Amino acid sequence: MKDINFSRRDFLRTAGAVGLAAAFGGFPSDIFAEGRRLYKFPEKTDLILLTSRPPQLETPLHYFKELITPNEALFVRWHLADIPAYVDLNKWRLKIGGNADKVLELSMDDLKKFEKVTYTAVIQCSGNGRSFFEPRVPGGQWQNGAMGNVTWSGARLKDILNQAGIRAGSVDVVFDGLDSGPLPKVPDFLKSLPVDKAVGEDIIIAYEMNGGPLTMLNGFPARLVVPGWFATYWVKALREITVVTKKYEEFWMKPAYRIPDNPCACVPPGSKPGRTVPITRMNTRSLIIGPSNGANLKANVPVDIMGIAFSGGYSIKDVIVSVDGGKSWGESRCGKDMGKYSWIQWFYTWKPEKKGKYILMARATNSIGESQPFESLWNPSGYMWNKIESIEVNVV
Amino acid sequence: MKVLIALTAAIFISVISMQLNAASIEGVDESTVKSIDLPAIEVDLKEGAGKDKTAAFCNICHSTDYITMQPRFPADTWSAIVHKMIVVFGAPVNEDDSRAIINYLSSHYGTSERPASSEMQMKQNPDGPGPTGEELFKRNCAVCHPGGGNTINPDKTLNMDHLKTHGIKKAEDIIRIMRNPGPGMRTFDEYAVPDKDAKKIAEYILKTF
Ligand code: HEC
Ligand code: HEC
Repeated sequence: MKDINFSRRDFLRTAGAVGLAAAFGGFPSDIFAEGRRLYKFPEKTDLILLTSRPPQLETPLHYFKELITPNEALFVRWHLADIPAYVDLNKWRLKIGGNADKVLELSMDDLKKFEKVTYTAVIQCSGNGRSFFEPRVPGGQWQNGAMGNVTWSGARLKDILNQAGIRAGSVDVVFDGLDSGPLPKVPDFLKSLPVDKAVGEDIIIAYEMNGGPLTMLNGFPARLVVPGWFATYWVKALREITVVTKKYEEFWMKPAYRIPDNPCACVPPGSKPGRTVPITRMNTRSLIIGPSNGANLKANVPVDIMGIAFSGGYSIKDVIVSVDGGKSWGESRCGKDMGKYSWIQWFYTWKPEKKGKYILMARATNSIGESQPFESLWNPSGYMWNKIESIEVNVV
Repeated sequence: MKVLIALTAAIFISVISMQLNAASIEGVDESTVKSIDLPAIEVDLKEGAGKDKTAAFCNICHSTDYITMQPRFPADTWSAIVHKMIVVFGAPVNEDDSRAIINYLSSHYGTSERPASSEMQMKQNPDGPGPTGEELFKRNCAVCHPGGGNTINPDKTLNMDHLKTHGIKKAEDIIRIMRNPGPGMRTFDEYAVPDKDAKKIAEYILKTF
């Protein structure tokens, strides 16, 4: 049974550790990151705690120095308080039904009999970077850690839908997970894809992340993976897939998770959009991971600036870097190409000559010319943050 | 108040019984089972009128860190949030309680520092309206700088001698650090601590430690 006082004691213990570290002049890295509190959830390492029930946990930036984000460090984002904490695979079945010839009830073994597809894809919350918008907007106050780059394996959704036999007149495919709302009026978390999208080649029901089973908090036993699209569609702990003949427009499709229906998905800061559409594909982003913001560098010593860049399903064409606040730009070297859904690492060697403060910036462009704005584009839900990042370093 | 206690108690009991159920299922094949224990993490809401109602009602569907993680919002944003909880999600909060909660949130997590109705307003306040420098320091800085010390980096206390050796002499210097801190300290932007409060904190530090 759970000890309800666990957290309290745990916190006291950590507080003690701080005192101890302080006494020895040490620097405890494990209770605060980027000024926010860290907490260890089951199967996870210390992550930045946004909320505990349901859990919303952010990945500290330094994990993005690696090409692949480890399972224990991947961010966590649930919407409803009743999340699965116990799953017995002997009992769990994924049900597929609705406007189909057959109803399927697949066990994990059944799922594994479909051809296994593996690729690396960025998973990113729609609200990643929400806390940077001005004016600020309500919602999960993420900085940059609501994302990760993971190698997913699973069965093609298309193959499963084919086995069930989608009938003519199908419009949307609806996905439901094991989570549910704590009170009756709280809308259950269901998401839908248009049928044309759902039968796309690359959409899978993933039962592995980075070669191991999914962690419970990332959607054990199986989750939808819609590479290139924001994670709101990647329904966790799947239990049921239903093919429907009408456009599915319940709460989490409408009014939630919508963006202004215009090319920039933006409105003047503080204003309300007219028409909206569901958020779908990720925009292009890049991030400077090292050196970190505020770092002290030595004059005349070369430093490798490194970062990551990705785009919603198109490969990155180039990442340019500025060390003078955007006045001049140079091209970076890109690392290993892991496919169009993965992020790439980029590197830029710089030898600062004069002492002083420098503003470093990075800007990615994808193969169809989509890039990043100099000024942030605003929308009332705080989605799709992709302003050119800038950090400041001191050369001493 | 009784209702509130009953409500919270009911939730606790249901959490516990869920745990018991999970633990007492018999005859399961361990190799096919995955189970985790989710931690219950306490959230400290700021003291003030309306705190109890907020802590009870706003904790039914989710933890109250949903509140504390938000930036400071103007009263109409808090009002919109509370009404969304009631209208869209069915939060069982009546008109009186929702007014008390909105008032609490706008006073303690709002953009206007001055609580609409609380003891703070009545106190003779040397710093002018709103909380004192000392109160603001306790709220924002004391976790890491208790008594003017520094639990994370003992070489960087708020002691006058330390401050001087690090070139920190005026209130402006302290405000600059709040806006753009060194490693291990969180950033306090104008939303977290508006300029006038930042000044109160800085003056309090300079005259106290
Ligand atoms: C009936 C259930 C319920 C109650 C009671 C409730 N909330 Fe919520 N709240 C929700 C749901 C559902 C969400 C969306 C969760 C998500 O997306 O992570 C939410 C989200 C939020 C958010 C994030 C912003 C947003 O709109 O998503 C805030 C802030 C919030 N609630 C504050 C409150 C406050 C303050 C109270 C007390 C008056 C309260 N909640 C009571 C269900 C509830
Ligand atoms: C999360 C812990 C934390 C909090 C909260 C915090 N600080 Fe700090 N503070 C630090 C750390 C760590 C340093 C040392 C940073 C460095 O190495 O430059 C520091 C340094 C300082 C310094 C420089 C001290 C010196 O001797 O050089 C000042 C001034 C300061 N903090 C003011 C504040 C104020 C004002 C607040 C509240 C508004 C605050 N701090 C809140 C952790 C914190």
